[in-house]
Amino acid sequence: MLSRVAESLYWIGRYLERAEDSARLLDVHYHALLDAQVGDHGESWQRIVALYGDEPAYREHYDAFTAQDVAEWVLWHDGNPSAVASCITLARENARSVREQISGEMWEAINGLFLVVGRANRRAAVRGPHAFFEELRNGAHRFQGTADATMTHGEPYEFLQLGLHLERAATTVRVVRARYPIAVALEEDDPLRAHELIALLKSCSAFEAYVRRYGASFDPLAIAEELIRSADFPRAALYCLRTCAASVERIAGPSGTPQRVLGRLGADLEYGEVSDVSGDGVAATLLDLLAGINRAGDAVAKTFFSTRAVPAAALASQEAQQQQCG
Amino acid sequence: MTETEPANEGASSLVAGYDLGPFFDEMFEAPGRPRRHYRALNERLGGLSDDGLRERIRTANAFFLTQGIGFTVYGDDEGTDRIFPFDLIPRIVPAEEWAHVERGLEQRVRALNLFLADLYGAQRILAEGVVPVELVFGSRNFRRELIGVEPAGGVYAHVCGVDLIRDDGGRYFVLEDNLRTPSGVSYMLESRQALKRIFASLFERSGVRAIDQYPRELLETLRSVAPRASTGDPAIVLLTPGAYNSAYYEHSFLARQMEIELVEARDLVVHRNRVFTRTTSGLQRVDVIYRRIDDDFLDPLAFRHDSLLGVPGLLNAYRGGNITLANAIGTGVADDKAIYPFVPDMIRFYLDEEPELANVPTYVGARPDDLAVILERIDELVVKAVDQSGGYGMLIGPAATASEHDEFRKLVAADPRNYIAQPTIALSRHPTFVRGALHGCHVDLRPFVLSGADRVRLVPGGLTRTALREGSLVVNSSQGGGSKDTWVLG
Repeated sequence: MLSRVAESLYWIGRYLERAEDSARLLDVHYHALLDAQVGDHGESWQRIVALYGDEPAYREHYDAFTAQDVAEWVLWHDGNPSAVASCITLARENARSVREQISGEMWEAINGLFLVVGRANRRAAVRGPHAFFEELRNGAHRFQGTADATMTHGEPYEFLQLGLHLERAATTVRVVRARYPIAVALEEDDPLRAHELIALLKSCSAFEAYVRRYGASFDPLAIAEELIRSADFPRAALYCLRTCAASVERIAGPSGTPQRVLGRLGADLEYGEVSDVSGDGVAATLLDLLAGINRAGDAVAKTFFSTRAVPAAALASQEAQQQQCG
Repeated sequence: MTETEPANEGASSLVAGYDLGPFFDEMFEAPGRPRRHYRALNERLGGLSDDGLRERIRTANAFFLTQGIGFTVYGDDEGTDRIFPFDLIPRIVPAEEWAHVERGLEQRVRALNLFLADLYGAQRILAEGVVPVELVFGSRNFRRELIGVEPAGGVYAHVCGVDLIRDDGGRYFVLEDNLRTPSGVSYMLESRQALKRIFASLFERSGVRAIDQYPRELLETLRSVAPRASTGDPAIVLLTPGAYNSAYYEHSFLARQMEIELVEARDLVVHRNRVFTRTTSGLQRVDVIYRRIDDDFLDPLAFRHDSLLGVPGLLNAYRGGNITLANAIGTGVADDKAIYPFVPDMIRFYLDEEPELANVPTYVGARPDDLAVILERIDELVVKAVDQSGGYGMLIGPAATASEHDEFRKLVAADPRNYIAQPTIALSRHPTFVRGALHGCHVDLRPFVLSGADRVRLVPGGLTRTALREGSLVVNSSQGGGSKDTWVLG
């Protein structure tokens, strides 16, 4: 299929996943803080911003890390290229340009998300994002559901899934990197520790899955195991990377650079030790994992997409000018 | 919605009280007297209740909405579609009339293609003084780069949209040829789909000739002009400027119907003078490009350097005979307003035949006798500046003031070669449903003529465009006109 079209579908997957995950993070954090002791939460809000590596950009626009400011940053700010509104707008632009590839229902789902963002009462949303997050989550799930049910599971579909799962893997790793060390730094009998671990699980929608497997005692090692190395929890890093590998193989066969990178990442995770992703080594290991995921993304781009930067506004203007007699 | 509603159930006064005016009416020969080929439709309309009518309009609108067909309004970012202005009353053309039109169209398009081949070849028609040399060489659309380059099958204008009108005697005239990127085919096809839903049994009873074979015919036409060098099944793509173009729906629609790839310039690359698409499994060879992009934007190395919609090196690949472009580069010289008056001469010159379809009578400023007529009768004529379009540099004599007449007399006298004039034609009208009642609206007809290396192909009918504002002569779809389904009877 056309490289440009494959690339658009891939990025639709990545952008929508990013939007959904950002909103989930924010929502969980709001509620976590409500349950916690009253105090200066600036530092914990800072971690949310740092999760995506956006701190320097954030500081250009804000002095402090308050709930309202961080929410605004994550959801809407123009200076944040990964803002939820931005991601959804870009996903829709990409969808519009590959309209023939997606079903009418998928287009309606993305368009619906776009309208939700456009219509949202921003002040209310930054004060209490739960309702907004629910709408976003439902919209994202509606899109994924219609994609699964109405899109032919051929090459275009695989690129969509590839983008979605690669982004999901990256987010899970980032969330664990951000929240895990804070939790394990607290004393075992400190109620805040369990509280932090629960927030970590909820940030990955993993709370019920974890409890079903491990019971209600929140053991950091087991949590790390579930989120990073589980082969059947759908938001676990290993699960997502394996899904990516399977998509790439269905697209281009068993051999190639992206296949190798993804395969290696998965094997390292699968055959590594649980302790690799917990304890003191966790920061370095997860950083390596994140780097690996980025390498996989690069390999996908290099192998399947062609990149040619064209200024969007100029292109749109020339496109519109073309005479169509009648 | 059923077709079994009893006749005359609350019969609407739809047809009663319809005013024909002094025009040729497509449907009625006299008030209350439909032409023979319209009798069945007239009866059907008369038996339609207000509810039945409203329901049909709703059905048609819903159909267009779900198809995604609509107008792209620049800057419209709402994600809502505008309803396509479609009139549910079909235009009906009897078989003998269409046979005449079809013969005239095939003849005209053949002559135009021969003209183009001549202009970019031996230029006999210029040498013999039939067409003034300066009209050709002075045309922006004449591409010197293509002199001596023979496209596959000698075909230049693969897709022609010829605009036809009828005068108050019902006689057909050619108003304009469109040889570059004529559009409207998707409206024609979707209008038929809509109409089949709302007047199903009438349609079936009427013996209307099919048109849904258009995409197949277009595909065969494109296949017939694959370059000599290509082997096996020719690889054909549709090149679109992109989603911001107002006709994007049509590009996407046709690509899907023909089952060919819809590409943008970014997807194409010229390598070793051959054209390829960039795909996830590497470069794939392209043989024929159905391009909906202006000549000027096709190749930034050859034409406009700032074009972001073109493929560097495309012109060279074309000159090398490695790629066919439909329509060919440089066809615009033949649909120039200044060249239009000479098309009947082309038919005589290349085919040694009299034109079956006439031009609208046109006075050419470049001819002294015509110039005299223009100056004398300027108050009766429509005067057009040849080098302008979109209604600029135009005088509608009967609607203008005495001082405007004087002004134009001066302009024409100062630069006669730049002006043509035509009598105002009382365009035919067709009953059209406007604001709850039937009104006579001016209509034209745009058939689409396909020229392959093997033969000319035509689907019966074409796009009937209506001026939806009463009294308006504007039928262009980007300016508020609408469309009707066109029925050619078998």
